[in-house]
Amino acid sequence: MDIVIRAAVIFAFLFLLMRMLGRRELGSMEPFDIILLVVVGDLVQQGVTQSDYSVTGALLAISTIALLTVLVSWTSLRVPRLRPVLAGEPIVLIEDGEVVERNLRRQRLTVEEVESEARLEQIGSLAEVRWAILETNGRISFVEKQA
Amino acid sequence: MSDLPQGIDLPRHRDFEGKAAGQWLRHAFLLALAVFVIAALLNAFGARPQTQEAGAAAGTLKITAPERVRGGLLYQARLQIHADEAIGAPTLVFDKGWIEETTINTVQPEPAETTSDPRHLKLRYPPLAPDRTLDVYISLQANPNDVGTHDADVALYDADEEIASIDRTQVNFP
Repeated sequence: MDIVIRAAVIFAFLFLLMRMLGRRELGSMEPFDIILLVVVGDLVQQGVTQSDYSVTGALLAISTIALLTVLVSWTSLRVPRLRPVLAGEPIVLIEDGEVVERNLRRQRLTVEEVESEARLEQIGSLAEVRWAILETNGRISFVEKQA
Repeated sequence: MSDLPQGIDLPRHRDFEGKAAGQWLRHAFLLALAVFVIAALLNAFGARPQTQEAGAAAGTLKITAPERVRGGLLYQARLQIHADEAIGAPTLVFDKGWIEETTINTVQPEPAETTSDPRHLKLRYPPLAPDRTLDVYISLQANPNDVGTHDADVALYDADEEIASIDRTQVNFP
């Protein structure tokens, strides 16, 4: 039973952490972030299964996390009012070529990072951008100005 | 017709209208994380050892062991018995909080006799001459399933006569 509780506690903490840290950390995975992700995964495993090396223990932990993931998606789908809390909302970063500085600060993003993302979308200048939106998955979508 | 992308509502997604509480919540969460980490540095969750001492005319008992441990943690308890007078049967008596759901890896030096009753574990050592000191090292590991507060008193007896007693409480974190 304790393995189910530990898995649920770790799931809740990680979910809260990811929602509170902001999307910048999710969208821009540098090599160091990937290493951190692996390290966090290892630490989480120790916290959840501890000295339990059994297949039953692993199945219980995975099943608990899978069920909670489905529960969160189901709640997000069925209760629209909770959707912003569970999944987040898009954030406007650029409007008509003008950077919305306050929103960049909120997400701890720099203009250089947005420019880099724009270049990856074959956009040479932010002045060409009508809308840039930080999506809930951490990526930035660009809508160019009409010619 | 507006060229606003579908699903985007400017007051909400650009100006954060009605979302002030969310921002404060995020700051509060980050503050709570910082407090959590600082508390850990200040030994709120173990496992820095504390030293306690008790004594009487016959001798003194000193213990150095953590009072807060986390599940799975390997830790050591060091007990020092100093005899001011001859102690015929120096016996360390541990509350069951020491042994319940805890793995005792080693006890060095090994006692001459180990006994127990429903509430205690007793380790008896050979006689101790006046002004001699005996150091006992116990290596332990907290069972990850054992969470909560336990009485972890320890006492020094000469056979059945109590010489000194130390009141301790051990907290096991998950």
